[in-house]
Amino acid sequence: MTTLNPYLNSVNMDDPGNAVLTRLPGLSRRVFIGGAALTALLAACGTGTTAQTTPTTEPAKTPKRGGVLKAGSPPPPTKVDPVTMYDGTAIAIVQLVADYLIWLDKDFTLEPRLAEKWETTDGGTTWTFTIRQGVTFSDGTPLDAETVKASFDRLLDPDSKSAALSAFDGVLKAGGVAAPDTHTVTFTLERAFSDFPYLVSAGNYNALILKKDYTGGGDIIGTGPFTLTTYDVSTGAVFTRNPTYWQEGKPYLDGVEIKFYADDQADLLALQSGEIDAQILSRPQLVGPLKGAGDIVVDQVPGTGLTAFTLRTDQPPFDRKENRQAVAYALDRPGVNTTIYDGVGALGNDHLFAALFPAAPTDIPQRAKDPAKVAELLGGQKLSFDLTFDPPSKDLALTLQNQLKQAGIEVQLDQRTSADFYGGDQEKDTPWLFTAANLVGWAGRAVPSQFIIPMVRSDGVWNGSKYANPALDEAAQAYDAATTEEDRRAQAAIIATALHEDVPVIISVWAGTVRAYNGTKFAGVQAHPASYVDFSEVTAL
Amino acid sequence: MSAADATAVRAVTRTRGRFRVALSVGVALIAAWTVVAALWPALAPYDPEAQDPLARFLAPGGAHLLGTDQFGRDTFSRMLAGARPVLQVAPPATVLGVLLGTAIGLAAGTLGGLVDEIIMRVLDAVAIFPAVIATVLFVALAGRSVTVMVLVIAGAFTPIVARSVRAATLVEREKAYVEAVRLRGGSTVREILPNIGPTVLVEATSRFGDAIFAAATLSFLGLGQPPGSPDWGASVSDNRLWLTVAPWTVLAPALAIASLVVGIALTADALRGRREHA
Amino acid sequence: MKGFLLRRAATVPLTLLGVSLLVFAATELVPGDVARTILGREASQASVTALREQLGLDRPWIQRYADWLGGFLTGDWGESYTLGVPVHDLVLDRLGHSLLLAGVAFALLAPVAVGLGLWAGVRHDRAADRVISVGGLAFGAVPEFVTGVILLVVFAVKLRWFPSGAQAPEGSGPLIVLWHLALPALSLVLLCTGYVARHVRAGTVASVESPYARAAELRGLTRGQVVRRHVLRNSTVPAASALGVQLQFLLGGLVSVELLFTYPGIGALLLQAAVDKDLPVLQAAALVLGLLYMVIVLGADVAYRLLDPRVRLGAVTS
Repeated sequence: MTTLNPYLNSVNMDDPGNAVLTRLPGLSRRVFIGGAALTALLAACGTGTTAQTTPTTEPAKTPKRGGVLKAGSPPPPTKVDPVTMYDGTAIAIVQLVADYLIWLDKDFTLEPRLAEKWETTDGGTTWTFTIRQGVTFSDGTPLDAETVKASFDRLLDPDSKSAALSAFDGVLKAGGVAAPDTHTVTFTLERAFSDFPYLVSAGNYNALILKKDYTGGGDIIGTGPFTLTTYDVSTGAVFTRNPTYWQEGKPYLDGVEIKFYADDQADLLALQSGEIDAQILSRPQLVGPLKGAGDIVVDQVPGTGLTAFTLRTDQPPFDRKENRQAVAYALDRPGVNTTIYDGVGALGNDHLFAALFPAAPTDIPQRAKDPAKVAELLGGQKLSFDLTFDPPSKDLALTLQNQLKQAGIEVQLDQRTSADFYGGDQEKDTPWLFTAANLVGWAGRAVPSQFIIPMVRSDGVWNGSKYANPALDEAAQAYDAATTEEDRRAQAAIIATALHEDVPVIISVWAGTVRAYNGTKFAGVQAHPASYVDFSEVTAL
Repeated sequence: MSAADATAVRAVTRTRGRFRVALSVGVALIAAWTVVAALWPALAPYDPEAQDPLARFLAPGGAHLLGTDQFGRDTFSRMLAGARPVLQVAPPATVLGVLLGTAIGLAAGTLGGLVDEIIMRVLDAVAIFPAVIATVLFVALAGRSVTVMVLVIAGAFTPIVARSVRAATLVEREKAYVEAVRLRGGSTVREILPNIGPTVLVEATSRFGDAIFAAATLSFLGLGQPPGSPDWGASVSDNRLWLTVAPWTVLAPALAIASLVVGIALTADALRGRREHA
Repeated sequence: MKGFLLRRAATVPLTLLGVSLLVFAATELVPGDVARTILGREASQASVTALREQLGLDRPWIQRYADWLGGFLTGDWGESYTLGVPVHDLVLDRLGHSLLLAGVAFALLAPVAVGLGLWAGVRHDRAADRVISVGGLAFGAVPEFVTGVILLVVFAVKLRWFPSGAQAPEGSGPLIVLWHLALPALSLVLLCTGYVARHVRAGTVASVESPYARAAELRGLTRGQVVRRHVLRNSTVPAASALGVQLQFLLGGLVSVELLFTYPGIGALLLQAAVDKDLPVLQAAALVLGLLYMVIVLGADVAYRLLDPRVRLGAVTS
């Protein structure tokens, strides 16, 4: 009988397993990488200056040129199309070839790429972006404002079927983009949105700038550090250095190869045997135990990925708030972090503000395991429910079941195939939005609104808990429109307190992300909170 | 008694002795695992489901005889507990698959002609139907249960067994003794059946090992045993990702599977050998 | 013989047609939506509905089946829903890889397993027999993804004698290709040897102890001559049958080996297509494998008739 593999489904960007982390073995290597990153950052910041000024403080650090980095990744589940892609491998492939207006740094700061600067003059409704001049696509076509406008018009077209439509929903719609001259693009929003630059940055991963005549399925030509030479749906993709890349001198590598591994273990063994030099989407649970073994280095960053333990607030047993709170108080969160994320995550507090988000409230006490409180909340009643999930959440489901059992709460595991779990109609019956309790992985987002608006606002498209709280709806709107840091924090406190108290979703751990690579052959491979890739500063050793 | 006779007697005695040893070892292995399947809650030192984040990947020895896995669960206790799901699924599935396959193969082989042709072509269609779709569909329609697992696995085995049995039957059918029975108007099936015994036995023992895998595969897909089941096959597929870090978590269930299959093989061989030498 | 071949060949298309209809209908009942798989869970429901219409998935399945069948028969196998590449090239390319791996594994398996089975049968109930039978079963009882991983860890990660992936770089010579295929082939041989050897052994024991073999021995032939002249021929019958079963397994059941050794074979493709409900790929892969299976079975049956005089006679009389 045929043997089947549940992990075969390619890694979705929202696979929680995607978000875990580990650390470097040797102190010297860490220092070196820090140094390299600093140099690179300085070089990137000085758009007018040249990088030659930095060697005065960092002598003899001219990066070595040449070499081909081989990286392993699961095969994309679909044809690679920047407009509709959603899986980690496809995103990585396109990110090597094309640029965003703004890149998202590993600490979620915005780094200018094809946009040199941006501003709003009316409190967040109209945004003006200045497009970098002198940039050409790898086929020689020059970049101009019209091209940028065309890229966004393509995403905003209701027929594009892009997930970006969901991201822009209620903020920006077709017709809102204009190019008044060759180097200026303006966005006119439906409502004030102070974090709008994040929506046109890498944080909205479909928002790549492509040639005007790009149509789905065509050749992917961008302004990025590499060009795609060959692509085979079965084996992988080969990239070569883009000689006309606008960031002078970069990339340092001659090329990149992405090899497809449908099996996690094959990917891992290929790294251990030296067949590949890095992984695109490392899982902390798997590479964590390899830390320091042989040549393998694991870079880790804190992240904002999470697996939401969603509880339906409109039907038994979780229409009773005390039941939801009881589950939240029954969890041993540090235990989840150790077992599922190899300790690289940060404890969650059942609201959607990770500590990394600047507006995160700091005065809500961390929820911890409290058996007495659980008993009190349950009031002598027996709590038992079905937990629905798909294979990537299996280990977490087992750990949650075990922890809840210790607190006297009985959980029956209902594992579905990914196709089943995410299939069906999102307005009627899809299991991930309509079961009483489920686990849904979300990749890291740069701004909390990207979680709050779809997940817990009463009209949210992915509101699986069917949570409806007018006070929260209002605060979420006000948060997006807030222009002062103070106002933001005030709205954030309202939202976080409501979520912490009402527990429509349990956030036990904020996942970090990791990326494993061969530290004896390459330097500069970095983890990214959304598992994005930027190999333009990787050097062969 | 001549010297030659004495040698012959000694040879027979030695062979019988070996069968006795094989039989005792085989029966002992099966019995041991059956007892474990029934009584594991009394034998296991830990709750096989209990996780301990502070005791992950412990090497064998100390408080954990066979170490712990990625959840900090006790490998030894899980190995003992795994005997039950394995013995609930693999033996009934094997027996059902072999019985069905033997009946069909025997019918095709003895009846011959058009009936044979039709049966074999239908079996071909069953055999080439992708197993993935069949299992996913079956479980979607009938729900997840031990019965469904047994039926799915038995269904996958039937064509394989039937093909082997039919092949053996064709050989026997042409032999003189069968011909004689046929001329007398007796039941040829009754004559053929004992003679295809070895083939059926080989199939049964081979299928038993396969049944353990197949059950594991279904669990692996989320279509068989519930997630986290200590089922040996499921444990092997769950734990293989950590093989380089904690090999004991894979080797313990793998050796348990092997020991049970070998026990059954020894028993089957010894029984057949005894009959042949009787 | 000619009539037999014709009769059998005539049933092949009918069987395939039935299978394709069943696959199509069954896939309809499996939960999941290929349009959702293509667009991802964050695409809006409106986009998914639009894509379903675009792919024609909103039409009744019987109509889609008729369309697909018409295309398939006229050589237009369509495009993969998810991967967007022509199904014909994809499936045949993957099949080519699978045939190569199965061929290498089979070339190793056949002589080793038949040899061991004969040896065990001739020396039945002695130590060699025991070791072969029990050893074969024990290896047969360890899933190939366990033996495969152990081989990988030892020979690819620790010793680095063999590559961890089975796919040789484009344009490699035959030796390099074989070097890449060695570990996956070995893990398959370990898995399958026991089954084939046991069947061969059973047939051998029966013929060694048969009256004609005894008679031959009484006529003064040595054991070796008896084996060569009589036993070998009779043992090939179960061997052909058992090898046929294994060949079918090697061609279609290699999913875990293909995944573990990252080999672009048809097994993994079939699985992915079934999971994604990518019907054009699923159908083509299932039919190509089915056709191959039936050819192998037919081949085994023919071999069978040629090898066994009694069956040959039986075929004549029936």
